[in-house]
Amino acid sequence: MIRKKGILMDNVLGLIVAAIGIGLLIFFAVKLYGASVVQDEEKARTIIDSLEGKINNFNEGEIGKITIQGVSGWFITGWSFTDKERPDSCYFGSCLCICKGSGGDVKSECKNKGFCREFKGLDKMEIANYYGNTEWRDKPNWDSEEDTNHQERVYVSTKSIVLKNQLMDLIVKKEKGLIVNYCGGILGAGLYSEQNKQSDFLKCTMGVK
Amino acid sequence: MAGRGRKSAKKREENNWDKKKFGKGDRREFRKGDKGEVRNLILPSNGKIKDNLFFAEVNSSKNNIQEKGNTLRLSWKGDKGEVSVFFIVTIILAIMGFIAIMFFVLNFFNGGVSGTDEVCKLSVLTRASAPSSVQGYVPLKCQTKKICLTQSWLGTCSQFAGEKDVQRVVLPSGKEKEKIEEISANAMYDCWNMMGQGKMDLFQSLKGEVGLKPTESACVICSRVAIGKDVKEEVILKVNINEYMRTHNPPNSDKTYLQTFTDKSVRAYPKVEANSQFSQLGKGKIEKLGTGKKIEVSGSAGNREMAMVFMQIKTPSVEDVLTNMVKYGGSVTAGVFMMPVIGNLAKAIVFSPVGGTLTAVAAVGMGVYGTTTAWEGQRIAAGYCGEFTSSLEKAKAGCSLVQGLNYNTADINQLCQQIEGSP
Repeated sequence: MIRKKGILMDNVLGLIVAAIGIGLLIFFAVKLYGASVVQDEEKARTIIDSLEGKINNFNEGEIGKITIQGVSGWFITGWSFTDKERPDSCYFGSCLCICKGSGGDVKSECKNKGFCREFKGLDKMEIANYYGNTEWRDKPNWDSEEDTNHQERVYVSTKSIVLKNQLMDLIVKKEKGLIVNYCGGILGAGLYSEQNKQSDFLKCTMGVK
Repeated sequence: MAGRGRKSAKKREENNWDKKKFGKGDRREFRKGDKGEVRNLILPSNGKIKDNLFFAEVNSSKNNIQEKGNTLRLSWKGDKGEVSVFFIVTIILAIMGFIAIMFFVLNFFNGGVSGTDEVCKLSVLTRASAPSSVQGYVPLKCQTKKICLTQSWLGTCSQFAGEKDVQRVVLPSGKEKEKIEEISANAMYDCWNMMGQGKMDLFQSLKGEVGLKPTESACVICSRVAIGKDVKEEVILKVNINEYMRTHNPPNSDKTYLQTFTDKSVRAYPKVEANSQFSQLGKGKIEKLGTGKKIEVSGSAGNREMAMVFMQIKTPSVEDVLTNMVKYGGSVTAGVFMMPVIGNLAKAIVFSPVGGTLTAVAAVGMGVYGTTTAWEGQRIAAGYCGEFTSSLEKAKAGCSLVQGLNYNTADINQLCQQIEGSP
């Protein structure tokens, strides 16, 4: 009887130590998983902060290229001040947001997890991703005698710029608002020249391959 | 004398509480006035157990032992099966140690100490030693350093406009060239050291997204070095990082950068024939045989920003890669190499399975080793090819390199399929 109690005492201590050990393992596992999520969030926050800082440096009417290091699983979108569907975080002005998700249902995805930055004084915010989205359209000045194909493939834009774990060039125009475009390969593997920025911008926005 | 006798009798009575006499589970009849240190006091009358250690005085009203002749079962401090002082001290030390580790770990995971070289190095070690199944979840806490080189005290770099944590370096008058060379070489050297000198397997799994198949590469942009507009073009044209690395030592080292990256027997870059394939690389378009795919290479003119990029790639044919290195002008010693002016073509030519089948080179402009002196045009690469140190039983083979590239999307994305670390 006396020995039994001693064994019990030893075992209780062992059990406590084991429980603490298992608890720590679980804690570290959760923390490890959380760390990668937190790092992505940090990256996303850095991207939107950097964009905000660079855009604020733009003069009215200026066109420029902003290179960002993307983070996969996130996308960039935005809302104009006049947009009634804009989220609460964009209440006081047009805003640019980076949100977690596929970029499909931008509003709900941004509501779940996203960071927005407001640009007061800018009424318009247009986000257009011309890369990777194409469709066939009727050629506007199709001449049936010279051209047998009456349709052409054109790039169409989406309202979200889905990010990837690489560098990405955003072409930004600040004029009575903000236009943020991503053209990717349209401009030739992301090549963009300072000299031809006006025509490059047009090429990108008009979806000309 | 009588008083002294009573006192010693009382002392003897108190000494009776000694563990030598009473062990755990022993029964003892207590009398009113008895004192001692009691643990696990069990009262037979109501069966309650009091686990706390306390000084019991049988006369005390707390433990309801007021009647003479109560029988108690006792266990004593220091008895077998009980907590020893050593055990308690150990536990306290362990808890303190645990708290200290947790403090550090929580800071590490929550980004509280992010951004420094030490944290980056630690995260590299943590990732390399983590099991492959969880490696993708261990974040690389490496933040891209932003270094702005200016000539004047109020000078800035437009490349970093709107960005935070920019480190400004004012170039000393008359020694601008040397300072640019020194900072660029150091940035490359620091990057190489931070990333475990390329010998650690850092991108084993990457959440299963990449898996780093042969020719798929993952990178970390260690630093971006930009030159302000106030620095004259003629200064930049004189910069020669290759020569600086050949003739100068890194801080606290008795070997040159070139020797540090390769071997102390290496004192010069290999000579490259003027008409060789390699000599024509540098700028323009190259085409891989049969693929029709052209690789765009940006020129250096007007670009005043360079990125020090660490790249790792898995390749089963390390020997082939090293052979290609030699073919294209690299210094190779025991798996460690240094290549001048290979630039972002390194992956396309040297690491690609079709590397070496490069045939058509439509070179325009400069890019010939020995004649290139523009800062941006010197895309020297240093690296390691061989087996990686990892947590895996079977080490994987591959190559790592660090090199300066023009900071633009086209150049860096051609080298890096994935970029990790914080911008």
